[in-house]
Amino acid sequence: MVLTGTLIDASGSRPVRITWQNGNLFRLEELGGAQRVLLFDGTKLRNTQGTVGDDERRMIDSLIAALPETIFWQSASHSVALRFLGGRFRATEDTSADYAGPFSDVYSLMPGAPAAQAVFGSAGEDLVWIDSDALLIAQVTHTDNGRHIATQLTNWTAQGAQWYPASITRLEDGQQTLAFQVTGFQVNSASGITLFQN
Amino acid sequence: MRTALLCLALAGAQIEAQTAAAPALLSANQLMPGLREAKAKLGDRLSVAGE
Repeated sequence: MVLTGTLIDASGSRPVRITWQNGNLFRLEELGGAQRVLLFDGTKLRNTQGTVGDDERRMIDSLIAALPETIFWQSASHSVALRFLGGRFRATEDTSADYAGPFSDVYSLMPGAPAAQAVFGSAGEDLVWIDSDALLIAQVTHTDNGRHIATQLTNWTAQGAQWYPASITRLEDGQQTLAFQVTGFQVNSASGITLFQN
Repeated sequence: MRTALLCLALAGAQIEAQTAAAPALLSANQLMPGLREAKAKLGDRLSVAGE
């Protein structure tokens, strides 16, 4: 699966291409700016332009770990513990009978295996919020040193029978720190492992 | 917050009741209908052999 689009964060705006493949392999390429390439071949996470620091971790956290593909692959491969916390949670404390939504089904996702932690960035708990009516992942949240981190997946778009989020937005304590606008979505046949190593 | 905590507690009690009453596989399916539907929305791209 290949997503192309424009990434905007503290480093500015530049085109980015994300290649994700079953097995939780990914290649996240900046096609402008610092032209970093972040790779994960199933065991090793690397940045072709240096180390994997906070900026790279933020990109991986919201553009890879929060992808539905990653969530479902991790849960199917038993590399995470998944727990249903409850259905039809309201977004606010509005208890009125005519509350119109949104409602969320919430799952707790706890990375356990080292490979999962390499992608998710920590052994901490993520919450996966699924829109109870649309049945699409609306956001993935966690806390990091007391800060509330939310990656919102919006503008879900259907291409044939395949849905994808056309907007991915990262909020840290409510402040937007990253936005990715998807302009291209493709499902291709599998690539060789070297695409995720070099 | 109080409402959310109450909902959480009720949901937890419900999960325990379902888990106790049903075989493990069946209860897992019952607990995760939304998750399965959400995966189904992705089409077959997680199911293509070798992809």
